[in-house]
Amino acid sequence: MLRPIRNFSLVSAIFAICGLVACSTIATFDQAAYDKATGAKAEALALMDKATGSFNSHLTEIEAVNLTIDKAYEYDRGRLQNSITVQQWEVLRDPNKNLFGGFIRRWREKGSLKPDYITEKKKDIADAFDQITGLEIGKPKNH
Amino acid sequence: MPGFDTDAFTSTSLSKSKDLAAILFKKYVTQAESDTSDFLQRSKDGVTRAGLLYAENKIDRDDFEDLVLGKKDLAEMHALKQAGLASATIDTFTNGVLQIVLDAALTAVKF
Repeated sequence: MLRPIRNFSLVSAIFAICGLVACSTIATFDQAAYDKATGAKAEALALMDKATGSFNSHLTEIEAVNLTIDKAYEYDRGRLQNSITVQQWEVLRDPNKNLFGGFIRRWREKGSLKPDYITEKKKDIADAFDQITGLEIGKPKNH
Repeated sequence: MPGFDTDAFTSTSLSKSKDLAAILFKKYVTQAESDTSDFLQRSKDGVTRAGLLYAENKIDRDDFEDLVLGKKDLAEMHALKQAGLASATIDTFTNGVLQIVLDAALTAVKF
């Protein structure tokens, strides 16, 4: 049906509605966030190899890696509509859970860790970081 | 006098939106199924390896329990990733529909 229009009011209205509705539910892809997560993964896995040695003799390195992870986490916390990635970081960092935060807690409590345990745990920590980068890659490239 | 073809606008918008939904959501479901299947297999293999290490006395009970509990935390991270990817797919669909509506509106205007 062809309805007459005197001006472009209808089209303008459609544009206006679309402009208002064009919202997003998740942050767009961020290369810096992706780079920070992959960098943190590499540092974390390299540190884990040293956990056969004593916790106290690696304090400086442990603090450095924790700082790298904290920076990546804080960067993601500062992004709009990024709560899911932030939750992932919180699971990874939580010392009361059983991923990287838990690994560091166990290293501190036990003094040192067994090589076979470390080898196996590294697979999980790598997988955990991959869940973060996998989500980042899957975010819309732009809106 | 300029006019606006409402029938063409509606039918074009609906048809193209349906096509977009079919493509996007099918792709999401396929990827999610594959990703989850791979994840479950990795978890199963990991628990099996941890059990063997414990049985061979290469790790202690605490280590074994930590490795098993780590799978639960990994599953949480995996679920969060899938939730995020679903949101991303919905965003892509929403923005695609908006573009379809705009294009259809411009096409439906008759001068």
